[in-house]
Amino acid sequence: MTTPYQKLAATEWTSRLFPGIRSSVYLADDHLLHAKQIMIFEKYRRFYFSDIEAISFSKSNRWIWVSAVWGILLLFSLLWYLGRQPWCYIVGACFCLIFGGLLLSSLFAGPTYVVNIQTAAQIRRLRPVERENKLIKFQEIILPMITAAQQSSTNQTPA
Amino acid sequence: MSAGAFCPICHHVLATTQWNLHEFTVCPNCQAPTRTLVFPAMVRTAGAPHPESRTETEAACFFHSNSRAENVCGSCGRFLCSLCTVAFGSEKLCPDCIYRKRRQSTDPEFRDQAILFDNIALFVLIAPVLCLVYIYFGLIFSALAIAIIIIGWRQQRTLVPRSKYRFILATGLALIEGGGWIALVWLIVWLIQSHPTDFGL
Repeated sequence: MTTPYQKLAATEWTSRLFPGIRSSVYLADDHLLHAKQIMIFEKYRRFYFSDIEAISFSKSNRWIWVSAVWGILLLFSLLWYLGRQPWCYIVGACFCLIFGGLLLSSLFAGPTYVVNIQTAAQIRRLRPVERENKLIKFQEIILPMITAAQQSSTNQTPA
Repeated sequence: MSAGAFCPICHHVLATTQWNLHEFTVCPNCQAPTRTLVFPAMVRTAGAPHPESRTETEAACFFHSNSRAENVCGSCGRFLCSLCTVAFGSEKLCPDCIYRKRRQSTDPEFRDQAILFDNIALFVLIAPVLCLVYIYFGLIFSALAIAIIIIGWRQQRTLVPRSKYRFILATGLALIEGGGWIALVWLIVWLIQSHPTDFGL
């Protein structure tokens, strides 16, 4: 019987366009599962709560750069309106809608972090929780579970 | 004790004074604002296990006859010393069983990857169109994709829930591409038969 997994977070939908970037984090009773999709494979990494040594995160400027790229593309999309033809306006509106939507979604998602999870055997980057709102939610869920698991394992260990 | 906590950006070891602070501190190497949450597992005294020597009346480890057995493998029942005991989640197993279970990949707890047949089917359908090979082998690729869909519908064993919509999409595409290829060939044959002179026949 398979372990029931509850999805905690996933990388943004734009990651579907780039192979190897899409990944998700799932929660089970006693571990976290990191599922990374690479073209035709899905690779899994398990992090048992009793084994997690550290979660480190650093502030990153990636969200500023990504927003700047979408903003520049939005400005370029406005150049279609110089065409003074009805079809130019339609194409321009489509591009403005796409890049404007991407810019807004990037801004609303908030600042980015680089998040690493560490056990004695491995250190992995958790891309799905690198946006601030997802990281806060992730911490709220995961920290009590890790603390509880490690307290109980300490209590079980004979002195 | 483990080697310590690392900066997520430059992987430099962070000082213990930077652990579990409520505010961000600067990494001494890359100057990135960093916060590290360290758990008791970091300072667990387990370290490297040292198996104890056994006396004549004590059970021996299956792999080390001089070491005292301290655990029993949860899968095969072999006696194991502390060196040979591998804690895998809540179970204690021997290295042989872990290797065997990972090779067999029948137990979901030991599965570390899954093949995505739906993505393969979509790739088989889309790549020939992009490479213009579809014109020659369109029907073969469509049939291949349908075979992959039929196999993958039951054989795709992902650990996490995965929607079947990609399979349905691939089936639709396969039928359209296969039907389109047959229609294309029929059209070419009909054109040649109805206007043979235009084709130099």
